[in-house]
Amino acid sequence: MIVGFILLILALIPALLKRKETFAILWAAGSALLGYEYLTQLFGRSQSVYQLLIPAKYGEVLLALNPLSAFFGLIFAFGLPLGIIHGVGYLRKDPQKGTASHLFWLGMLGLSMHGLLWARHSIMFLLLWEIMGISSFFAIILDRKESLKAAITYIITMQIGGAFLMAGFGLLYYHSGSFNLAMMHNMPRLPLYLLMIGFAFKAGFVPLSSWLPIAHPVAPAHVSGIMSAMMIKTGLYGILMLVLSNVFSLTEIAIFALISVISAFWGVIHAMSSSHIKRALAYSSIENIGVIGMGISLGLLGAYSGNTQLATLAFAGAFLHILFHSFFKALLFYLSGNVLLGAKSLEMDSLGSLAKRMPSTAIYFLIGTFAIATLPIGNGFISEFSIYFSMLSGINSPHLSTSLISVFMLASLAFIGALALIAFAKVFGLTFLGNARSHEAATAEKAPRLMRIPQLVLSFAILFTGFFGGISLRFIRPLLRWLGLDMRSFSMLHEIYGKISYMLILLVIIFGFLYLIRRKLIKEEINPTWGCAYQKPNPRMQYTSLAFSNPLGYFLKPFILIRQKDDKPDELFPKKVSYIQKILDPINEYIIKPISRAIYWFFSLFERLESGMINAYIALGLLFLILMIIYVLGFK
Amino acid sequence: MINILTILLLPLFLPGLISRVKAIMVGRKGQSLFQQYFHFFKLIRKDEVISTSASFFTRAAPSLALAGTLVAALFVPIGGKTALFSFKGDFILVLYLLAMTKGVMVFAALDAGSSFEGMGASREISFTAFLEPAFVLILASLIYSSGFSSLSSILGNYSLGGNDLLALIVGIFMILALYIMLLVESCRVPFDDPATHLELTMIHEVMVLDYSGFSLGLIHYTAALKMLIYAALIAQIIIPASCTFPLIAFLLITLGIGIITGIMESLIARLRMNRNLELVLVPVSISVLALAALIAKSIGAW
Repeated sequence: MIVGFILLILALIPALLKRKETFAILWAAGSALLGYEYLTQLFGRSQSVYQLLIPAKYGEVLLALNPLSAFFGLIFAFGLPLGIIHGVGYLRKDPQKGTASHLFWLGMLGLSMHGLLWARHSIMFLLLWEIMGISSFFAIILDRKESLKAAITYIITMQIGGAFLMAGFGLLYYHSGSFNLAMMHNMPRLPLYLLMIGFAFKAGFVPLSSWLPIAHPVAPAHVSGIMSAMMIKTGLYGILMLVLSNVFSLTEIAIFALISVISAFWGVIHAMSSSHIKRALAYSSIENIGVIGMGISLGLLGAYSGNTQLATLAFAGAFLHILFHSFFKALLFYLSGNVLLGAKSLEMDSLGSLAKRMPSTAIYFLIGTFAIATLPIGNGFISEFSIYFSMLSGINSPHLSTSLISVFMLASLAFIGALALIAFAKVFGLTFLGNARSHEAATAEKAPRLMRIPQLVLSFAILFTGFFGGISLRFIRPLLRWLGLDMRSFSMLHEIYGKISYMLILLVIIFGFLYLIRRKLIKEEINPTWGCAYQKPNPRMQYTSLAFSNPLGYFLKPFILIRQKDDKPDELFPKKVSYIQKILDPINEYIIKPISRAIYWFFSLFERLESGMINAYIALGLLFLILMIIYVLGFK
Repeated sequence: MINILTILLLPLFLPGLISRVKAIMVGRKGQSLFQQYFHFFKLIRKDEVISTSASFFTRAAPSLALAGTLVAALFVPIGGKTALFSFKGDFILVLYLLAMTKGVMVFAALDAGSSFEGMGASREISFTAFLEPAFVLILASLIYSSGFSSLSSILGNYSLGGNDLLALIVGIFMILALYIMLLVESCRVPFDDPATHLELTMIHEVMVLDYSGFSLGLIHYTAALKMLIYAALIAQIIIPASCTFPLIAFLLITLGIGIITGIMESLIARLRMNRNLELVLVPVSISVLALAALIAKSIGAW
């Protein structure tokens, strides 16, 4: 552990010297060492506890792992070096000013994420949490132009979340008298809720999620990949720490379940109506966090009602989805970097046909699409299968509440899954298929090889875990055992995943057979697309992203805020016709913006105080002193 | 064995039957019942014309869609009590395999770069949003009344008959929901008219405008197989467990579904395009009703 961390800290030196490659190599080596530590910890071969002695009253700081943090650590140890390699490839292809500081903050981000998992002391945890927020803020603003405003929104949101955490940990200390995170057992409700809200800011639960679709589209591809696939998981880590060591009432579980369903639904309908690839991906992160939340709340429900099968399968599904989401979301965000470098745009309406210009990017993106749309062969199906399975075993429960919540979530998850399919059918179809909608897309270039290596690794990981769900289950087995869950249901799930693997292999065999027959025996003739006798079709006549999601938009109108500006032709010879449509996030428009406007107004009241006149400052200082004296003496 | 034979041979019979019934309804003699088979064998021997804008995906999609549907069909009980393969919760795999075939065909439609096909793709995939919840809710009601297991035993355990009035009503609800889903999935009237000649009003047909030859043959077969899957699910709910000749009962019910569909198509017109999705919501609400009835019964409010 120590060597691993020292390597990661040492990696900051080449980062400051702009030695990108050395930075990446040190990170890979350090992550390998840390990953080994996490593996041994997860499978119970060793127990690593370290003590940091800090003078004064804070006492000793424990650094220790448990299976939960080791599981998250494995995700980081696998995902972060891949993201950094991709980032190095990206910076090489598109060199910008500020590489040194970008790499430094990227390194700090990774370090703080690893450190969080070891921290067992609430102040150290908070400190690392803040470093994580600040370093990701600096990592976002690589190009320093468009991204700055969005990044500031992000850092402010993170600070508010951090304030909730600070209040929660403070109250926890007040109640328990200890900074140790082990004191989280059976917490009083107020600090518990405060901490939950603080973590939910990071994880991106609705309505605290508005920073995701703002910050992710402007960040460089590798940073948004790392943030969306891994950093927001620290929020889930916090939530899991809380829910696994506290007992909840049925109402609380139901509220958590409802928030998760709303998050998933909210994320997916906005992903569906978005025409920007990275914004769609950011919204889909909210959806996936919601799905994971659904798994967690079902697990709690199972534990509450004594339905061990429900609890086991739901937690298994949630953990698997945490793991798999870190694969496919990272992959898709990295691929959006290829698209941006190649075709200079991320708006689907000016892309198209990239499958011909960038075939490997298209195939990787297709694999990612299968995973994110929970279609078989992709690994998203494996994890959602387990969540589905848990809901189905909750239907027949003797408790009416369990049945009802299970059925409600079952229908919601099916609906959300279908909408995710629509959303990503749109993203993949409009970006990679059809005809190019702009000159840049028609002349797109392949991404450099260094960027494609992490994508190849992640695609392979997705296919492997998608085919052999049983093998990925082994990684969460110690975790479930640590939670004291039902191992019989676990081995049943393992067996079923084995059967699914056979069926998927059969699917591939049939497909390969038919495809080869076609390839070998059928001759092709190339002709233009059927245009219903229209002679001059052009790429602008293809379906646009708005048109594609429109049929469902009619039903989802109440949840999506559409602002349109319609400049209709009015005279006999109209001079100008235009139509602009914007899809906005109602939470952002109706909740966040008014609040921030009110705060701004409040502080602008004090603007006058800063007049620049020294005598006015002295007068104010005097006034303050007099008030203080009255306040202090008043108590006596 | 019977399962595999049925899956391979029966599907193309259904569209042929429907068009024959339609022909008779309007006073024509109509095509041979086996015309679809001739058509299929003619198509798979032909070479293809591929669009200039097609990428690798157009070439792979029909095979992948057929493979997915075939694997899904292996889990569907046909004529007997059990399917060829079954495990607890297998219907989730079936549902997602069917969704995959649909997604793959939508990609292929977008690949042609035509405005018609994008339109069809958008319409077709919008249906999924309501069909998937309907499918899981129907299965949830069956699970609620007969326990959680594999698709074939859930359907096999459910019996319409007996003196249980509630089971009968719920069963009829579910058959109705499944039948509407069949119409949507196989693109029949009132959602889509396979006989239409205007691209703007097509759904399924417009998605495959640029396919020809071997691939088109596979696509026709896939569509027919999907219809057979839903027909088999309906049949399995109707056939009681004690039936002595389940295979014959299955064939009769499947033929009945074909004939009813043909008669319906001759009697009613298709819906306006933007009303389609409202009708697709009907199976969802029917299955919610069925489930609510079952839950009401179990807590004693019935």
